[in-house]
Amino acid sequence: MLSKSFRQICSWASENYSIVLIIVMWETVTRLSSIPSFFLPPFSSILMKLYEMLANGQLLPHIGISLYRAFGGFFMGLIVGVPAGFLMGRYRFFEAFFDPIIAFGYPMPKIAFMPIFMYWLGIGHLSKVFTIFLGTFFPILINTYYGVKSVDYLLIWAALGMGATPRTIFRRVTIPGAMPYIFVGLNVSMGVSLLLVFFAEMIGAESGLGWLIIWGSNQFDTELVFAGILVISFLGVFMNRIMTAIQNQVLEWNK
Amino acid sequence: MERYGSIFLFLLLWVVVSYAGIVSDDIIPSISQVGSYLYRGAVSGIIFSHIIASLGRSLSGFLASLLLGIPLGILMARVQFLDRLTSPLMATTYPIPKVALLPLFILWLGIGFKSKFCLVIIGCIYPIIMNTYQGVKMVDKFWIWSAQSMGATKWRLITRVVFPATLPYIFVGVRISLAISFLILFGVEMIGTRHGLGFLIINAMEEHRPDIIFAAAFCIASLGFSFDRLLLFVRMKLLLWRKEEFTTT
Repeated sequence: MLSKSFRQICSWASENYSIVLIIVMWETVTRLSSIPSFFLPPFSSILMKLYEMLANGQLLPHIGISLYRAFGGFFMGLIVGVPAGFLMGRYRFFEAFFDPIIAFGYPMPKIAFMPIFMYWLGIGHLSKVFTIFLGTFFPILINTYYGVKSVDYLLIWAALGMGATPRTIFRRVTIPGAMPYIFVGLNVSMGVSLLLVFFAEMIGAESGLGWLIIWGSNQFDTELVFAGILVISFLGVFMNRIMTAIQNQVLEWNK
Repeated sequence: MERYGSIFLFLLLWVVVSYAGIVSDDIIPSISQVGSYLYRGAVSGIIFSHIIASLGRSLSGFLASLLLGIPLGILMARVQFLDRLTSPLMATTYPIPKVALLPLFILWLGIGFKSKFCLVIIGCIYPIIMNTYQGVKMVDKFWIWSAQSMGATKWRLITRVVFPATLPYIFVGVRISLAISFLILFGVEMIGTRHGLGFLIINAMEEHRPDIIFAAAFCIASLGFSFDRLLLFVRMKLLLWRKEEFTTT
């Protein structure tokens, strides 16, 4: 049992030897040279700090708050973006309605609007959630729209020829056909939501991982900053994995 | 006119809401307040100095990441050793939200231009490298083989076959990076500067001047829009030989 997991770790390390190399170099350089620890702390002391903060329960509430905000915005984007994308793909009227909104809204950096939302909605959760909603809405909308547009006409004609009603075609052909594209949008939006939540928390918040990092850097507590970055990186990788897993489950027929 | 119907609808709604007195000026400033601030700012040149400060930061970082990212992506895809070395690094660091590194960069490089420049580069370079890498991997093997059998040197092979064939993919990454460079920049300016549009917004928020917030947001939105359009125009000119890339969106 032990030897098996040890062998797994060894094979992972030999495949990703560059990562191991960097961590080892980091540790030796910071331990042996006289780099002050507020400038670059050794890797092991960052891990110690992380463990300490997890153990005394300092970290988990911040993780919870950040995830709550990120997912709140993400799900709002999902709930509004996907139906809007389907409407856009199906009806001329909505296509003409959303097209200029996308042209102006999509390339716009959404973080610039956070101060306006803070002005309107206060510095609590709502302003961040709304910023993230705006950031996730556009990728989901655009990809759903492309998905609906790119459904193969032959499939629709075949379904029509077999006597399917428009409702059935929508449910059985359009939705599954657009699914792979929707997932592209969801993947992008997941990354955007995490990016925006940490960003928004750095600019104006009293809690959350982004605030924790900024607070740590104001205290010159670089170990805390690195520990926060590690958690954020872990969350980014973890969410990416989860999205891929969900995607593989839902799109199994598409492989 | 008809194409931008929803934008006009939005503007009309704004005018009606602010002039009918449904919402007070403190919450949603009227379009004339925002317009007059923009006009005064443009005449005195204050707005332009902020715009130039912001653009200088974001575009320099964006261009540097182009110059670094495209050769790196091509090298990574063509040289086996580099591929083995960097692929795991890229895969693990790609999903990290790069903004989180800002406090570190400020600590290491100071609060001035350098930390922002480096953060914009770090944020922009990933999509460019990833898309270039994937593009190079997708280049038709027969093109490479036929160029090699006709005696093309490595340099000619890269500049005449691999790079042009990868260009459509590179543009996908470049477009993402351009948006990221603006996003990172305005956010960074909100955290630690005395110049630029992001600073203008944050400062206006502290002074309770919603008209300035709206004016600055309008500038940011139009900058994002116009640079995106400029990029699409460049892509259309460069990829004339690829018919399917003709679409504007």
